[in-house]
Amino acid sequence: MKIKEKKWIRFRIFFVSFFLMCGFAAIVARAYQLQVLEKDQLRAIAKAGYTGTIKLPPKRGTIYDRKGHELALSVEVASVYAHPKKVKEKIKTAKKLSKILGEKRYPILKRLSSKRSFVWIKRKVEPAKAEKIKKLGLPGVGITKESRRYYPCREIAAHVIGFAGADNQGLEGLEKKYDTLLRGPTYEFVQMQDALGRPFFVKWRLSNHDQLHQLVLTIDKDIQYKAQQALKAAVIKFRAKAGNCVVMDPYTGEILAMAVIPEFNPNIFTKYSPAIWRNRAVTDCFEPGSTIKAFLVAACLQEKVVTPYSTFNCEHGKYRILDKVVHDTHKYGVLTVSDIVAYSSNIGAIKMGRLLGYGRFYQYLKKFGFGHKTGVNLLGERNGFIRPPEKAKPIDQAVIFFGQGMTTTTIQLARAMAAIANGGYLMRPYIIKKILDKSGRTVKMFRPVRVRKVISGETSAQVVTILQRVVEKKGTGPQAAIAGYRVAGKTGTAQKVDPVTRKYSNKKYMASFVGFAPARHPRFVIAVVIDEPKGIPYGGVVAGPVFRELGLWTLNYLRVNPEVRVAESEAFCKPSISSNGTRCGISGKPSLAPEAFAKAGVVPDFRGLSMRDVLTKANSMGLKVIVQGTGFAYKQKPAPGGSLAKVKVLKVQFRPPT
Amino acid sequence: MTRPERVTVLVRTRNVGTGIRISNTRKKGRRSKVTGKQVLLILVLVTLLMGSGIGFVWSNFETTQIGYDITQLKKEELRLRELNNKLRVELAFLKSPENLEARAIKKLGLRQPKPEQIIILP
Repeated sequence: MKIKEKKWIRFRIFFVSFFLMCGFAAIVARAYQLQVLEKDQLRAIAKAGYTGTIKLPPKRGTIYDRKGHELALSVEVASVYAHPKKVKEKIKTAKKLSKILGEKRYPILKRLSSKRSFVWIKRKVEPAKAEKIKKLGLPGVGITKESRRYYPCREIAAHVIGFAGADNQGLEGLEKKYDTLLRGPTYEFVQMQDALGRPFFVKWRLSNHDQLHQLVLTIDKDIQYKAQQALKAAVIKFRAKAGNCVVMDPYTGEILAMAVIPEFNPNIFTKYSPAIWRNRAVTDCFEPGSTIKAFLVAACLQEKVVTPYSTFNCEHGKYRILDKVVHDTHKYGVLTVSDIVAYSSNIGAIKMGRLLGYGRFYQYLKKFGFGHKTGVNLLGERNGFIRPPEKAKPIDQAVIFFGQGMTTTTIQLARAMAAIANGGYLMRPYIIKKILDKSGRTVKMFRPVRVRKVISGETSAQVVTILQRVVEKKGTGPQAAIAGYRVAGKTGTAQKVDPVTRKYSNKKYMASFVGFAPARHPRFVIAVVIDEPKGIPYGGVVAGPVFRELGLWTLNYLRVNPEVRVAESEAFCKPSISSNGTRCGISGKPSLAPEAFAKAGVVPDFRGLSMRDVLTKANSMGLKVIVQGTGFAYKQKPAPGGSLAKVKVLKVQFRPPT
Repeated sequence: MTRPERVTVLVRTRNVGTGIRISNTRKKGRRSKVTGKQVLLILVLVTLLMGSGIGFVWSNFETTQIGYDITQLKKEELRLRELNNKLRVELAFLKSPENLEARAIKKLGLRQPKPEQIIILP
């Protein structure tokens, strides 16, 4: 019995432990299954339970003008999407969506009925509308955030900046060229959430390693606006096909403005034809016509082939070269080099050019940067074309001296003129001043680059003197003159080649003016090109006024003091202004009456005058005035009545009337 | 069963009922006297332990709470950043030369200055 009991107990122990072993084995097996075999899957499920990921739309770098005004920036907006398979009541849903979005019902319904798993209903909608849709809680319809590019200045510099598409990709202009720099990283943030789904721990994560950069342009928003305005007015006035204009700082090569007409609004770029998106100032080549004479005379003077006073017989407007006859607009006899440029005589230019020779002129044109890309950081720049000497026929060798048989872009023209304006240095034009990182630190700075010295400073000064005569009354471009300032420039009226007849058209012209002001220490070079003006084709008449309007405005904007002596000169007294008998010249100072001259040697009495009167009066006398306070003048130093001889600066104090 | 006289002696005996040999060894030391100092020490240690335990739990709780707050503030930050961005766009739209010019002419009745009206101070 005892033994039996013992055995039974042993059996029971064995039995229980066997069960326990089995149970343990089962647990181990299950643990293996969960921890090893299904690890990843389960972990993902668990993670999804306590973490949530939110993707932020990628940002794009801002583009600023030279003074830090935004020209292009990105903002988050909402987009409405749908999973068509999850949408139950398609017709009802479409009706509700169409009501809020203000779109037609049928296209929405069509999208909702699509077999795809994901469709956009409408992208980039206003936040208020998105909120409304969110509140409806339609099944299968969702809202996501996307980044949208805004161009707050609308048409301003649109051709330079270009635009970015719906998916944040640069499509035109700088947006395309610097797409990789502007494109920012996609941010994801991972948050852990509790049982109620409230997030309590957030971790930021970068999805890709793109670094966001911002661009600062050399463009000045205000000059750009004025350029577009002035150019647009001219294009409309002369019913021209198109026009473009480049404003450049001659000493640095910075592009201050680049206007192209017709304009487009990059916020709604799809509504314009792609032809309008083109930045014609760099992508369109044209025959420069007479503007090239400025460079011809520079080359001739540099090579000492002629002096400004050398004379040429202009054959009274008709000159035969082989089987062709070259005409001048007006008939001229013997003209000096200076006159040839001022009156733009083609025959004179040919004769002058022949002394220089085609080969040498070709070299100079190359040196002035024609026939080569300028290297400006813009998309789609063209080379232009000059016929090499070995390929030039005799007629080509003659007509190039007045700008036919070669092509150039507006920016090339502007930079070549800048080389004359700045004392002979060819600069590399640039439109990006700085590249900034996300927080605004400068990553890269662009500096002026001198490409080469083309002509000597002496020659440059001679050419500037000659070019100033162009805008004088007898020259071809008096409409480009800016009263109060010395202006130098050259007009151009080029016949266009008719694509059908392949001959120079008598109706289609390219009117241009390239000039700079003030002539001695120029602050800007402006090149204006107007394509196919109707009626009057002359560059001086069509493009000149654009130069004058934009130039005058820019000089005031840049706070350039008028050159008084020029203002006083009779040539600048506009009849319209002086007709009232009291005013003359631009600065509108009262014309110096005889008694004023008599008193010229005496310090005038400014007391009791308004600030405007004091300034105009002092300006007309060539006195520098320092003003203090507001109101009317009550004190001045030195006192009135003394000798003016030693006075350099007058101090005038003002106070409001009591 | 009699208690062994000496504590060191091992007493091995068999259970009467089962016959299984069991050991029934026990050491009996001198009854140690716990001093007041030791009690104090133990109390301090226990308090420290409990305190640190509570501290740990409390800090964990605080962490979570702050985590919630951070999340809220992060969201708020994002919202404000976006708002700021939108306002910047609006400001830029309003500051565009076209708009400024139109407003200056319409609202304030300003005109473009005539050349003779512009005087540049030296």
